[in-house]
Amino acid sequence: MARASILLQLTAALLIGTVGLRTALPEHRRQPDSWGSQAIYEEAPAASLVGSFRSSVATWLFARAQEYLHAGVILRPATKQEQDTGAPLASHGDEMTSHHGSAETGMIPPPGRDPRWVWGMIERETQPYMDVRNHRHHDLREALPLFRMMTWSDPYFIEAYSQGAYLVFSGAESRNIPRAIEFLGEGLHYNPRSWQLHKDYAHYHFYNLKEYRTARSFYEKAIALAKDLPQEKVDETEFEAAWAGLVQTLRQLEDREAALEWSTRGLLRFPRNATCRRTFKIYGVPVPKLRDAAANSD
Amino acid sequence: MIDAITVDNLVVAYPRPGKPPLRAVDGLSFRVAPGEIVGFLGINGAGKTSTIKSLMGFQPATSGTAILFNKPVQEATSRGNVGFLPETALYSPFLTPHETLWLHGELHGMERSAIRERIQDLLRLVGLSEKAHVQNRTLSKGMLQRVGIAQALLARPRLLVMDEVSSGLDPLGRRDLRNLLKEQRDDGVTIFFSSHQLGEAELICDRILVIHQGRLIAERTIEELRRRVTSLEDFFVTLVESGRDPLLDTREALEALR
Amino acid sequence: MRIAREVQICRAFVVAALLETLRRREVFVLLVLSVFMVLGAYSFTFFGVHGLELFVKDMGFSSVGLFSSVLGVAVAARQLPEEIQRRTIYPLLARPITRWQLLLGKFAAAWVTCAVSFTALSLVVVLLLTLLRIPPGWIFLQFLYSRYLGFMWLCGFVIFLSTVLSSSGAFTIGLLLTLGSGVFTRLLMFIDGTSGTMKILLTPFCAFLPQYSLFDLTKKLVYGWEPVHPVAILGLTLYGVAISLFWLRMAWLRLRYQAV
Repeated sequence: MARASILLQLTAALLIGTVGLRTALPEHRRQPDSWGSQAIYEEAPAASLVGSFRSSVATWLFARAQEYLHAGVILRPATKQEQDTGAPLASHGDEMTSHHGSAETGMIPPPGRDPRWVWGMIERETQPYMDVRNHRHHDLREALPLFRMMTWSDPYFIEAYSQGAYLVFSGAESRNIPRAIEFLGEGLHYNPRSWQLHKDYAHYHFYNLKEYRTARSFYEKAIALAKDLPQEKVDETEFEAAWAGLVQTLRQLEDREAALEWSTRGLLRFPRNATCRRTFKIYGVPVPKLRDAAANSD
Repeated sequence: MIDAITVDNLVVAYPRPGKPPLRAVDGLSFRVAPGEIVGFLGINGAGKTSTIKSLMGFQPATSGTAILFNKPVQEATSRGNVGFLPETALYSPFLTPHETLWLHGELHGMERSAIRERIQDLLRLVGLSEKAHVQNRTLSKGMLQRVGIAQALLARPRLLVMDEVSSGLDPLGRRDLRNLLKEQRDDGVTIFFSSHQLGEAELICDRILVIHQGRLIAERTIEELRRRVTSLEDFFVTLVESGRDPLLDTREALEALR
Repeated sequence: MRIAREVQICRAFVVAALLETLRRREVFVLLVLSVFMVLGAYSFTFFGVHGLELFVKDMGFSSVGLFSSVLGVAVAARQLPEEIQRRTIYPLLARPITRWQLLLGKFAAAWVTCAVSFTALSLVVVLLLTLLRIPPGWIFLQFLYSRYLGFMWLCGFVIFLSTVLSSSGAFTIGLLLTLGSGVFTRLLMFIDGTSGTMKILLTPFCAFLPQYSLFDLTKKLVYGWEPVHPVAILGLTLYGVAISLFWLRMAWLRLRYQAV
C-alpha cells in the first residue's frame, strides 16, 4: 500500500512537472511577437518564474565563460585614481590583451602598490588570477560549451549566440563555420526580430563565406529592424558597421545604383563613414553635400 | 584525615539587571568526611543545584571556598577523584553507551586497557550489557540514568556527587541504586547527593544537610533523627516553613548564634 | 605528559565527533550532491557538447569547497552551544579537564571532521574526474593541505563566535564571514598608496580579517596554474596555526569564568 502510494505520488509529480515545463518552455513554433526577447516569458504566467530561473542560469554561465576566456583572471573597472597613478591595466599586455578597454584592472594590486605586505604576497601566490599581470586569453574552445548551454537555458539570450558564433569563427577551423552558421541560425529562429543576429549572420556570410546575396538580404533586414528601434537601444558603432557591410556587399555584387543610394543614406546618419565616402570615389561620383543628400533621400 | 568536601562561607550570586544579585547560595559552610553518605536536602530553589554546580566547577563562586580532597574546585585536578551524576542524564544522542563510557574514560585520563575492562564490568552492573551498542537517543530516561551511573563510577572515584539522583528511576531502579550506593560506601567511597526524596535519604544517608534560601538550616545524623523525630517529613516541613531547626535546644541555639 | 594528556583528550573528542557526523548522515548527503554536480556537468557531453573539462573540474571542486565550508561552519557552530543546551556539557566538565582542554578538544573534533569530510568528498570527485579522463594534477595535494589550514581558521573563529552568540547565530555569521571573506580584503584595495605608516597599520590588521579565501586553491587547481611556492605554503601554515590559536584563546577568555 505504501509503495503504491509513493508510486502514485511520484507519477503525479512527474506529470505536473512535465505539464508545467511544457507550459513554460518555448515551443519551436512559438516566436516572440514583441521586441523584447524575454517577452515570451511574460506571456505565460507559469513561464515567468521558470523563465527568470533560466535566464539567471544563462547569465551565470555567461559570467563563467568570461572567466574561462581570461584564464580565470578576474577584471574590474579601474578607479580614476588607479588610472591617474599608472596602475597596471588589462590592456597593458600583448596584442591579444590589448583589445581590453583601458579601464580594466585586476582585483589585487601588484607588489609595489599593495599596502598589505605579506598578505598580498601570499594572495598573489595562492590566487594569481586576482593579479591583472597574469591576464591572458585562454583557449577559446574551453568556453564554447558554455555558450551552447547558455542558449539551451535561455534561447532568447542574443549575446550568447553572438559571442558564441564569434568564438567558433575565431577558432579558424573551416569545419567549424557550418556549425557556427547553424548556431546563429538557431538564434535567428528564436529571435527573428534581433537586428544584431541578422547583422552577425550577414557579416559571416560576407567576410568568411563570400556569399554576397545572402549577406545583402540579412544586412538589409538588420538595418530595417534597427531603424524601427528607439535610437537609444541601438549601438551606433554596430549599426554603422552593419551599414558599411551592406555597402561593401552591394559593391561586391556590382549593384552600383543600390550601393550609391545606400551610401548616400548612410552619410546622412554617419557623416564620417569611410566606406560610404569611398563608394562615391570608386564609382567616380562626387560625395553629395548632406543637404542635397537629405533632399534626395526617401 | 582530609575531608572529602570542605565548603566555607560559599556565596553564589546571579546578577539581575536593575536589581540586587540573587544569592542562590548565601554563606554556606559544611564538611563531608570521607566514607560518609550525606544527603543534601531542600525544596525547589533552595540552592542545592547551585551548590553542586559550584562544587563541580560549572558555576564560579562569587565568594567563599569549596575544596575537594584538599584541592580547590577551580583546579581541574580536584575532580580527578570525583564521579558526577547530574539530575538529568544527558549524553550525546548519537553515541552508544559503550562509546559514551569510552569517551569519559579517555577524558578522565584512564589507560585504554583499564577503560575496556571497566566498561564491561559497569555495563553488567547497571544492566545495560544488551544495550551497549545502541545509540543513546533510542534509550529510555531510566536507561540513560543508568548510563550516567556507569560513567560516574567509571574511574573508581573516591567521591560521588549526585544531583537528584533518584529522578527518572522506577522503584526497582531506586532499590538497585540504593544497594549500589551502600556497596560504594562500604568500599570507602564518599557520597554526597541532593534529593527531594526524603524516604531515600532516610534509607541510605548517614547524615543530612538541609538548605533553605541558600543557607544551611539543619545538619543532623540520621541516627539522631530516628531517635528524636517520628517522621522525617514532618521534621523537614517544620524546618522549611519556620526556617529553624526544631530540634535545636536553647544551648545549641545560643552556640549557633555565636 | 601534558601534551600526551591533551592529545588523549583531543582524540576522545575527535572520535566522538566523527561518529556523530557519520550518524547524522550529513556527509553522505553532501557526497551525493557532489557526485550529482560532477555527473550533471559531464552529462552535457551526451548531448554533443564536448570540451567541458574545465567546466566539470570547476563544478566538481567548487561544490566540494562550498559544501565542506558549510559543513565546517555547521559542525564548529554546534560544538559548544549544543553541549550547553543539551546539558551534556556537565558530565564532560565533571572530568578532570580544564576549560581550555575542552575547547581544544572541541576544536580538534570540528577540524578533523571538516578535514575528513572534505578529503572524502575531494577524493570522490577526483576519482570521478579521473574516470572521465580529467585528472587534476599534483597541485591537488596543495589544494587539500591549504584547505586543511583554512579549516583551522574556520573552526577556531566559529567556535569563538559560538561563545558569544547562539548556535544559529554563530552559524549564520560564521557562514557569511567565511563565504564572503574576500569582500573585506577587496575593500582594502581602495586604499591605494604604499606609505610606510599605512603598511605598518594595515599588515597586523589584515591578520584579523576573515582571510578564508587565502586558503582556497580551487581556481589554481581548475585552471592548472603552477603549484604554490613553498615559502607561501609555510606562511599560510604559520598564519593558519597562529590565527586559530588566537581565536581559541579568545573563546577561552569568554568561557573560562562562564557559568554553564
